[in-house]
Amino acid sequence: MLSMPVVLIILFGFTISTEIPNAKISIYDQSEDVQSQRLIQSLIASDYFQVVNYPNSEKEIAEDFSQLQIKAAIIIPPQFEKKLISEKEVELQVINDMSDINVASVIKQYIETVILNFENDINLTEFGKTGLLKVSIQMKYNPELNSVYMFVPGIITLIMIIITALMSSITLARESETNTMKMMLITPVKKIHIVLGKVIPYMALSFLSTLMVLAISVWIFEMPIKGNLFVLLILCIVFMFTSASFGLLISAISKTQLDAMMITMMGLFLPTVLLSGFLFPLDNMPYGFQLLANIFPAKWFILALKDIMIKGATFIDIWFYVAVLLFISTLLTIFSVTQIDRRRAS
Amino acid sequence: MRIILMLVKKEFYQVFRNRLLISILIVAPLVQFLIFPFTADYEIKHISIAFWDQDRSTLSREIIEHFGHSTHFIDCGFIDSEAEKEEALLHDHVDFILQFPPRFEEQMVRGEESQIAITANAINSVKAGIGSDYIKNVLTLFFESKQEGTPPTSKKMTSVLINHIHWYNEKMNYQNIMVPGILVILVTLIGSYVTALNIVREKEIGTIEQINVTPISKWQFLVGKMIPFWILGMLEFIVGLLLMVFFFGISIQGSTTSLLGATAIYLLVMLGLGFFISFVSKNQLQAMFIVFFLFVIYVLLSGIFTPTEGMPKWAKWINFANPMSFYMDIIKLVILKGAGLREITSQVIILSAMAIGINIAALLSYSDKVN
Repeated sequence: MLSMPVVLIILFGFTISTEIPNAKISIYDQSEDVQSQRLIQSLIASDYFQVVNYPNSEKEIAEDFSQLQIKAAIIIPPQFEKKLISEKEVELQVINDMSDINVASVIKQYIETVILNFENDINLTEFGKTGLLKVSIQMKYNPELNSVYMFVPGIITLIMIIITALMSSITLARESETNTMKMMLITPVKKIHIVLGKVIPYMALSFLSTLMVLAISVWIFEMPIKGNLFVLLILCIVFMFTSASFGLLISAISKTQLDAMMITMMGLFLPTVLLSGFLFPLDNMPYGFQLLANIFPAKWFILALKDIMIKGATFIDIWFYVAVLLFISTLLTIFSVTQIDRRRAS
Repeated sequence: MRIILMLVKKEFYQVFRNRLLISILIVAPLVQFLIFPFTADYEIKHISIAFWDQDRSTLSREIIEHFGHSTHFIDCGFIDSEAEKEEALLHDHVDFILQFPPRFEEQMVRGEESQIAITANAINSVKAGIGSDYIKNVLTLFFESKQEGTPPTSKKMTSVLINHIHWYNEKMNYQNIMVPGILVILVTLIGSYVTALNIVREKEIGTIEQINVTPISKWQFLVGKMIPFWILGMLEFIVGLLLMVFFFGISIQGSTTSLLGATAIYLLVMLGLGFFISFVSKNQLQAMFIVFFLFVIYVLLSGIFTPTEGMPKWAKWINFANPMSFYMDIIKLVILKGAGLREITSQVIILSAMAIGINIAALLSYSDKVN
């Protein structure tokens, strides 16, 4: 069972990425002059692209899309150099293969980056704007623009949810399925003790797997831990409690282990993937979904994780997130215990 | 034949009495159609920016105003100190901070060098990269427009506009790709989940033993199981297709017949997989775990949510054993690119081979169990 988190993080870590190395493109150069050559050179030099063909008509571009599987085609208009020097605006056409929108949106951004740089470059060299204005850019927290910084915290969260919530919901549901829960409830043992006794061993296991996942993210995916390791571990334990209380809630409302598993997948795992903001930016979503995202603990945990691991935040900086997580877990635990109570009454 | 018909009839009774299966058949598609198309969109649209204006001059104010005109930026106000800057970045209040030095205007007017400092929150590396280019661009364009007011000089600035043309999905709508993706997920779920759970249940409650002692042969049993779930899967697919066309307004560009044909074959693969899993697992829970695990791997590798291009070699190799990625190809080709049977032949052949292979494996493992 402890091998599952290892398999998951390696699988997720390597496959969830929005980087596209060496995207194939075609360039239809209608002007073939110095500046168009320069543009092509800067496209090649950017390392984003692999220019596979230089078609000579729109029809050939269509063939490149279907036969060479290019992701985009760039059309440089005739008299590019002349227009660039004498006119205020030059229009480049970029044809994107939108059937794979995930790829297309990344490629579009790559192209825009290169073109913007080219434009700034031209203005500098051709128009003698040696520029009184200098712009300095500091890439804070991630100077090498590493994409794992974005994904690994989300992946850690997903794995912790799968392990902790799923395990605790299934074992508790099993107790009620096999009726052993009822037996325990008629003994003088307090409800809260039953629940704690049930949850704590699984917490210990989850903690172990969390440690493994953290170790892999540091050693294999080169995530930093800039903040205090102790604070990080406390945060993880709090989140484990929150996940476990979700598991408790699910087991309280489901009758069988199967129900518990279904609800965990549909009601917890799926919203965590979609609404935690690590894969899809929350501010692109309709407002209702943005509100909904606050209910799920993943969003808060990911924010706190990033703050500690990447930004080197201290406990004072993340106390709010920790408080939200504790609040959610207290609320859920109280609700689940009353739910179990009601079951005893019936 | 009569035996198979009886088995099919029995199966339909069983399915409609099982609350869990019905909920997978009805609730799962609803949830997916309601949530996925609206959430899965990771294009960078909003870049928030704050200003630290140490100059407080007309020039700096004009520049700030200029950022307000740009559609890419959300103005997040002003900050006044290094501490506030740290705080804003630490708590993700802003993505970028633009800092004007003291005496900025004075220096610019006098023709001295001056420097604007941009600090980016670079955890989201793509956003940091594209955002800083946008900022540089806004600044360049601003100084260009400033120059136009002054007496004409020979030095002009130029800007390169990018006219994006969107092929295969003109409206550039995320729903256009997500909805076909959901269709794929649906067919997969029905095919593998529902069959696997159904058969394991027969094992759990012991009815499979009873069937084994009747004169019903193994293949009759399998076919009798397959037909009802195949029909359910096709029905679900057609309902999904109708929703796609009439609710989401995405029309099928290619041949609908080949789409249905390919789906029929893909369903056979998934049904076979469901059978196989059910024969090797002991109870419903275990079957569910296995299906879920495979499902997650399939979805990740099929490129529905994330691009497959950036994956390492080994992941691409695993993908050759992933029926979902071939089916996803077919769906994209037919629905969005208007392909017919000719363009999808190779995928269909691979899926057919997979269907035959997995069903034979299932039949063999079933015989194993019986003996």
